[in-house]
Amino acid sequence: MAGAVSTMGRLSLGAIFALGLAASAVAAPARVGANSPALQQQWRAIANLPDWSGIWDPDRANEAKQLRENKPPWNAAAQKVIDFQQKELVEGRPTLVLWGCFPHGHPTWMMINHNVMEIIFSPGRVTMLGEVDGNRMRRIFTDGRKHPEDPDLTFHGHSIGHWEGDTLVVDTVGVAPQAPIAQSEAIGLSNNGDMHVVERIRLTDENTLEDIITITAPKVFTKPWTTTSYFKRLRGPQYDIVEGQCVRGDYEEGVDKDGYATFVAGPERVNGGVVPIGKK
Amino acid sequence: MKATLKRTACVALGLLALAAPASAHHSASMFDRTKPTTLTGVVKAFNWVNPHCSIIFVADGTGETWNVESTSPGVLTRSGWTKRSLNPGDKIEITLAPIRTGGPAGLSLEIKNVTTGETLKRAV
Repeated sequence: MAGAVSTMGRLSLGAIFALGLAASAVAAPARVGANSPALQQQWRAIANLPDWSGIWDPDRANEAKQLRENKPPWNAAAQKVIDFQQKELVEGRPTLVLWGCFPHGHPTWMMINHNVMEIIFSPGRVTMLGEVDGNRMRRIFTDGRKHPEDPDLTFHGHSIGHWEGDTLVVDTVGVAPQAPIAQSEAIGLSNNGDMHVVERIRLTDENTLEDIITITAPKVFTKPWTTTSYFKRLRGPQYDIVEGQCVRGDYEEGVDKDGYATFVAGPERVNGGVVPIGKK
Repeated sequence: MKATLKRTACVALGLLALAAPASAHHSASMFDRTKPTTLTGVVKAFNWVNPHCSIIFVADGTGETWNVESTSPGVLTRSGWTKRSLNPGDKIEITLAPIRTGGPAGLSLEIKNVTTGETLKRAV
């Protein structure tokens, strides 16, 4: 120890400073939260995936075409209800298939959405971030996991995916029976349970994303049914997703008894719209 | 006692039904797109809210207050609208699809803000 002090005494201040710098470069403690080499590799691998950046706007003309030309194989009981909905629609009394601000759910969110979404790749996951209905989102796990054996039933279900070349193949189960299979806001029925959905999602050109959706819904269909959705790419901050809040339209701005800003119940609306009931 | 309870339950259910929020995404088939109607008037309110914006205006001539529905703030933003696109007092020329049940209500198709000179329609 005494020797070390004596050695130190012979070193110039500059040398001590240089040594200090070198020591900090070599023996710096590991950065808290640094990506592991394996995770860094996964992030690098994402650079090789196709470019799905930007904002994806549903092709509403295609949604209308699917409704017109691609009829689902409803079973006899379901077809009766659909026929009634069609009649009501024509007569200007559309059925409220999406009601109470419940989510569109899967796969209807992918089929009749009018609002945009963006798609984020991260290690082990593809995440779809939407605008409609409280900025709904889908998590698609691409880390090789299986579906849970007894999943909690949810509006978007449990989705796992894998890449086949530049196509993302997504398998979804665990969708709540109440989630609708809808071809429009006025034509559709609850899937009634045990639904299985497989999607093949890919770019068909630089700015078109295609989602081929095959739905097996044994409680309401006589056989599996395939429909296709398209999304057009928009780029630029003017197209950014904004906050979507389904229930807001039921309320008006107001203040509470203590003078704090709040929302107060507005008039009841016609069929979820802005037109007050009974006001002519 | 039983009858009172029943009556109370009925009243409670009735209130619940009245208070039940109705908002959701809905079809626009209650509006008749085959009868586009153009009106002029003065904006009373522009409700920039989800899931549907609405324009309340007083029509020239009749003095009727119209309640006209549009689409969501997100879709309108991407079409170049802002919450300031229509302001109370602005003069407008509006083309709308009237509600089938009759009365001063409809679906907005295109609006010209005569005060600002801006033409507003859904662009995406």
